[in-house]
Amino acid sequence: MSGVVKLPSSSGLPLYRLIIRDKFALASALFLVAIVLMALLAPILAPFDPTELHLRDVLRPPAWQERGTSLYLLGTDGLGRDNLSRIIYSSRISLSVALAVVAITLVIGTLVGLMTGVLRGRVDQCFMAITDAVMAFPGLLMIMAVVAVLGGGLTTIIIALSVRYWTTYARVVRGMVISLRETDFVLAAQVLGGSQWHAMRTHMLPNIVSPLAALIPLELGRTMLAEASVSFLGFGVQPPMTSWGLLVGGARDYIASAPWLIIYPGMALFLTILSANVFGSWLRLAADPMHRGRLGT
Amino acid sequence: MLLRYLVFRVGRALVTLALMSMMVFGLTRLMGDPVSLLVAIDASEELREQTRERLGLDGSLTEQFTDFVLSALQGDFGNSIYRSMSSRDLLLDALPATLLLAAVAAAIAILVGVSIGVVASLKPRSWLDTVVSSISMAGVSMPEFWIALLLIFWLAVGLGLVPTSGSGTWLHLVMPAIVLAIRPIGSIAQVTRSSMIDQMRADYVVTAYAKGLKTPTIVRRHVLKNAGIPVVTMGGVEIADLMTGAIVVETIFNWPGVGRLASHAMQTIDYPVIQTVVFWAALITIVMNLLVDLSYAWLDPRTRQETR
Repeated sequence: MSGVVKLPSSSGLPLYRLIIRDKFALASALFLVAIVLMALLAPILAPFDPTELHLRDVLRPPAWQERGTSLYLLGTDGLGRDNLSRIIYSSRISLSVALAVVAITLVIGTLVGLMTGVLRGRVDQCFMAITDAVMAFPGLLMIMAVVAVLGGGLTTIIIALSVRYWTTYARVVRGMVISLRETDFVLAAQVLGGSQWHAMRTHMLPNIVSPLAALIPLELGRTMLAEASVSFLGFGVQPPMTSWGLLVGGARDYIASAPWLIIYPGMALFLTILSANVFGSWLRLAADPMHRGRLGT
Repeated sequence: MLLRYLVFRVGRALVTLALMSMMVFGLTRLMGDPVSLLVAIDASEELREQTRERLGLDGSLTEQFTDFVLSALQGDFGNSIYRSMSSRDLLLDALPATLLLAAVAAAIAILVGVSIGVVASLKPRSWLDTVVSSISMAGVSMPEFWIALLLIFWLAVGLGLVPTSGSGTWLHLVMPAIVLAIRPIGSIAQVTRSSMIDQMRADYVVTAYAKGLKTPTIVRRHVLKNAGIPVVTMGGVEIADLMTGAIVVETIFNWPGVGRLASHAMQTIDYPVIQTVVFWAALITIVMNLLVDLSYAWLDPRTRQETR
């Protein structure tokens, strides 16, 4: 009677067997795993310390170009720091900021969405007005303003992004609660004397979990892009810390003389966001039993 | 019933507006003391006091907020700290450049996005569909600042086809417009494709085929119109986003629009300008949302139930 739809359901196949059939989704999932491993194993994988200066080897191009050496596979920057090592280490900040923001917004958004969806009435109206106000702000400007208020730093950028993006989850959860509230199994639970909170905990929450989880990769991609953009503009992660966006931002003036400082960090960022989006789109269909039939088989 | 919804929804928009204004006020007041940026470090306390007075920062917080609300009603938050111009005039000066850029980008996005979306939908899961889907996925995942710099490297530095940045000729418009169009091309193509696929399965298409019509005729005469509805909704959202995306693009290409104005104002804590830009951008979004909701309510009575 609880009406829970579990992830591996009607078609009888668990997710890992479904993904093998979709080569794009599989490739993107593997790429994401590789990026996470790269971030975790950065000290082992990176050939150099990312802050180590090699003043004799300033602005070396990648190994396969003229003047390049196999010592610095992707070249060096204006201070002779190894490009590849900096890209590898930057993945740590880029990934952890995105993960932290998604975790925070997921928790806050779910709580607020559940509360407003269940309580309705005035609480709900207040909440809608607040989310409207937050969402009316031009996204990047709001993040930049919060960073300008609190000063640069890892915590600040996480707070700034969370302030902007918690509304996505809150709205999705509220929408799901409102539609679930009218379903037979929730009504039945209430007719049998269960309280609203009981209905929420035991009947609604489990049904919300899998569509919410499916949103995570897409939100990760969006958050990474926002962090990279504000860091690029100088309102995000601050040196000496580095993120992919900041690497590209710092190399802006080298576009004509040392394009490798822009091409490769940007490519790492692009491929990671692309993978998150490809995997996320697949997961959203796979998590929804109604749409699963559309998956490539 | 419709009137009741109208009153309810306009009321909520007003509450939203009030909340938004308070956020703008709070954020900009917390951003730091503009006085310390304007006067020399060893300036006398007297000079500081005068500057504070000139900027209207000498009153209590309540007085300042009253000033703020009065300014908001006029849509102007005073003179820019660095340029002796009203911030509203600065905004109005920058607006045409942003609108031009957004219009060209939107035209490119709609033309390319709809075309490749339609092409992909005609043979779902063919190699052509795979290529188009991959392109649109790549488009929505592409960091704007990265592709902007790559274009500068290839088109301006490498081939010398267009100027690297600035404004003045239509050649200056090429790169910023392309960069700004990439993301909407991706999302418009995706929506067009799925909407077309849904429509091609509809009964009226089967009937048209039974009458002996050829695919191009059916698509042109019947399907495109019906498939267009979600594309228009989606396109509206994306084009509103163009204005926001313009911050990064205008800064990189030094395009004299609202985005560059905002980004410069941020860097210099020119808070009257920040307030004006953010206030107007948020106001436009709130009004647009209101209009969208009202038009839905008018078209579909079920959405009016929210008032209960």
